[in-house]
Amino acid sequence: MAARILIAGCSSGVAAEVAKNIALAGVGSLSLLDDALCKSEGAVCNFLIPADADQAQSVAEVSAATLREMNPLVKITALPGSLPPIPDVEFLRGFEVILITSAPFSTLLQYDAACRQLGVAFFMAASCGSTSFFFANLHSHEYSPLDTPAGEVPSKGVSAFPSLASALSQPWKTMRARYTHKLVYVLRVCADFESHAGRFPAAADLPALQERARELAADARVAASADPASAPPPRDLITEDVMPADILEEYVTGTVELPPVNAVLGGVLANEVLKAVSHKGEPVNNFFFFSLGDNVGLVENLGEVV
Amino acid sequence: MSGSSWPAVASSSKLKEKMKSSKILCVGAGGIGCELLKTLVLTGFEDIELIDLDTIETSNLNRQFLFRRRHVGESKAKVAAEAVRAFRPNAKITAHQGNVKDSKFDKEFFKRFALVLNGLDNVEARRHVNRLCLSAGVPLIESGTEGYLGQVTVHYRLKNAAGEATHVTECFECAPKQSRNKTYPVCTIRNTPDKPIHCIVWAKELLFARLFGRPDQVTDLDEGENKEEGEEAREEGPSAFLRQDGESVEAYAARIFKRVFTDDIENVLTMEDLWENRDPPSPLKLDEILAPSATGVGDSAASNGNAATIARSNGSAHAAGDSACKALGLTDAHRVWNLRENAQVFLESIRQFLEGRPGEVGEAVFDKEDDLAVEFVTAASNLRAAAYGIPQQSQFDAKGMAGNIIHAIATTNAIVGGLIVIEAMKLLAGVPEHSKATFIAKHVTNPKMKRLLNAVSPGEPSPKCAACGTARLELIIDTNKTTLSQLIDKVLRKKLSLVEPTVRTDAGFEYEEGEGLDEDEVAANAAKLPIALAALPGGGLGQGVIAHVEDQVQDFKVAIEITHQDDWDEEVHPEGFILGGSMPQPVSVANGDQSEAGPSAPDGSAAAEEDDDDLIIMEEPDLAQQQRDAKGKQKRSAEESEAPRKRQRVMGRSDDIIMLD
Repeated sequence: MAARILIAGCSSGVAAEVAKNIALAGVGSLSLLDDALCKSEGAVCNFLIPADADQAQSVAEVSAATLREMNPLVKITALPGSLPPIPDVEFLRGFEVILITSAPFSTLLQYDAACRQLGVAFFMAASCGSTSFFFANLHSHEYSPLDTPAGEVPSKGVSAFPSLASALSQPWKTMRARYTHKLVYVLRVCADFESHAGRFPAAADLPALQERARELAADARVAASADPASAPPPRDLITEDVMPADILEEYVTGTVELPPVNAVLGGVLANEVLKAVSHKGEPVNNFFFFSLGDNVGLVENLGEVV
Repeated sequence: MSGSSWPAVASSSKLKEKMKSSKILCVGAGGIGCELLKTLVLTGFEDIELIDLDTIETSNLNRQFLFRRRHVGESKAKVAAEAVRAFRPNAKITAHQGNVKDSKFDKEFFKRFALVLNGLDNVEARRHVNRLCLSAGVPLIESGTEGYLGQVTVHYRLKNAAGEATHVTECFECAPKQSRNKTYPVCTIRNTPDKPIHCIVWAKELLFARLFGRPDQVTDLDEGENKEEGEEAREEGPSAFLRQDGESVEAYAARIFKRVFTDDIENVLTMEDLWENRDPPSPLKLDEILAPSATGVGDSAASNGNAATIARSNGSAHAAGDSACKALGLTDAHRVWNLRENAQVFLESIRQFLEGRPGEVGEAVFDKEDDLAVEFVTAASNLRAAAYGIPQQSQFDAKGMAGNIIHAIATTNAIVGGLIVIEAMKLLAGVPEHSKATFIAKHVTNPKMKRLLNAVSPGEPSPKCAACGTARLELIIDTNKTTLSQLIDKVLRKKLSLVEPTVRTDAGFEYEEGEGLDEDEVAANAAKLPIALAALPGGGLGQGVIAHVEDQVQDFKVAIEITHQDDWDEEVHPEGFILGGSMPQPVSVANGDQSEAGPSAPDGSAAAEEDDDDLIIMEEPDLAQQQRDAKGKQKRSAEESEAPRKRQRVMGRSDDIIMLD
């Protein structure tokens, strides 16, 4: 199996967890792309970087060296540079799977679209304080079940994935207050902000983001009452305070990574990367959330398949 | 964001300070242990003691990511402690290479810690740690994994300053453990199999992997095996299992047959001490099995000549590579093949693999849906079973057994390690009301609440629990035929997981073990061992007697009421006794093998301590069952599964976890 996997942005603890898990599983080749230096603040949770590492080296180089030691059978490459904001199709073609851990929404959306064209599995992931998530787009993904009861012929399954653009534009009137993860609203509002402001929000933008969430929630309630047939039942209707301030703040300021959250997210995400390559096991379609508040690992499907 | 409630408190400087200064005990530096230790130090824990008896083996390297090839043979605890200091030099980690059941890890030792975190995967040690934590009053965070399934639970009795209990959960032993998973020590698999599953594990995990799997891993493995097991070192390397230049497929298959079923069996026969109390195996001779006069001739369409010629005459000389049985006309998957058929399938499946799938040789992975792979494993397993006088299996049954061998998975260990740290943070932050029992599922089952990790409140303690409650057990046993020694081994050690049992009765019978006894006392106690229970001095342990059983190491006490019964039906009660009441369930029979085959454990406890988690053989999907039980129930009732039982050093090959095909 010569699966080629790219992890773009490998400073973070989540990236380190995923890279370690994939290296241990022994896939064909793993490429790391991140020219941040070892001493950078974003790399404090990356346990692949020894304390005495050459601080002038990139996190990709140092992490790759540790991973090679961990599993000499896996080809691990540190690529120079960083992720280009505009996807290079020829470059992407060289992979079966790419995982991006940190990039503006505009970049993520372009990569998701480019990967769809090429049939490259696309993942993005972030661990932001007490909450974390990843998004998967395996396009149209065929798989065989992990286990088939004795005597039964394994039945192939197909999972069709919405695009990231579609996932981030799911109408709020269809959200269900009890089930939808709070981070969904946060992602949505921040993506919305970026598309208008041309930049990722900062701490100073928190009040504006809250206001935007209230508007969207209010609109959703109006839309739901106008079309009761397709709206959730009244008790599932979202309210104006649907987006908790602490989760929004953690996501926007994005400085705190909690290593145990990274371990959980990285473990589940590595399983999904391996499923994307092996076509074994039903994949997560298309969001996974893990939160410290309730210890629940939730799968949600957002967006529509075109 | 520095509130005092969970999860805001998770990033607070107060908790950081607490994590830095609190003394933590980690038990186990294996699959879970490596992940746990890494996440602990990254999170900011700095004062950690780590206990593990084992040394690092090649087969650990694909999950226990703190270890490198150059560490093979060194203490897991020591290497793990050094490895995490590479990225967190400030962490103070004290490594103990030792058995957690050693008396030096007593109640006073446990009392020094703020929390105990278990990364063990063996029930005896987990019970032992549970009892010490109860006794020392230290909260315990427990964990277990089984393939993709995993769980983390919390067990404590927290008290306020006035000594009143404020938060109490079930202890690890409150819910009976019902798992029937079994694990087998490597010596049993390699040298002294006595059950069909031993042969299946050997055929699938060792031989299949050696012939068709990745060759680079075989090299390290053979080295490690020869060193560790003290087996006669072979001059030839692993290349002995590869086809030589110019060797015909038929000659290769026959050579492999001779090697594993003739030469290797003859070799193991030379280890005489193995056969003192066992029936020795008989080497198989291929010529005799295939000879026209051999027994069992006539059952199959292919009853003369060797398998290869038959396959040719059936017109499959080009070897499709999909089924040896098809080529041999063996169509009934439920019929157990005779010896000749097994040999034929063995030879033909090797031939088909080499000729029909040359590209796969060297990197094949066993798949139970792959007919040829299942045929090979069935035949190889049955041939080994024939050599050892073990019942043989149909292809259908062998497939099921091979498919139930579960590999430990690195990602599950990583998730479990993270969950343990989260529970540890909650306890140090003083928010036990947020404690959870968390379960990792293999896939989403409820389409409405799609959860891969599900969390529920910790269970309530059971008043009937033998470890933390006020249980009285009832033992029904033949008190005229059972000796004290048998009672101690079968009931107290094996069933109740005691280490140093003491038995007393009100009438004056006394039996003691452990330190602090003088020579005369030791001799006096030993003299009682071969005596039947009813005939023991001091009134004995006969009908109606209540025995007060204690283990000082574990601070464990229980009263056992004895009822005599003659005439035991071995079929119904193979153990020869019934132990009633709420109590820890039996430990798998595999532990019996461990004590005889284990390295140097006088009482088998060192062997039982093994906390690796390479391979689990499941008879019941217990963790899955447990998750179903937990689902939708805030309070779990009686069905908590026991941790995966596992074996260590069963064939390093077994745990090349290659999740990709």
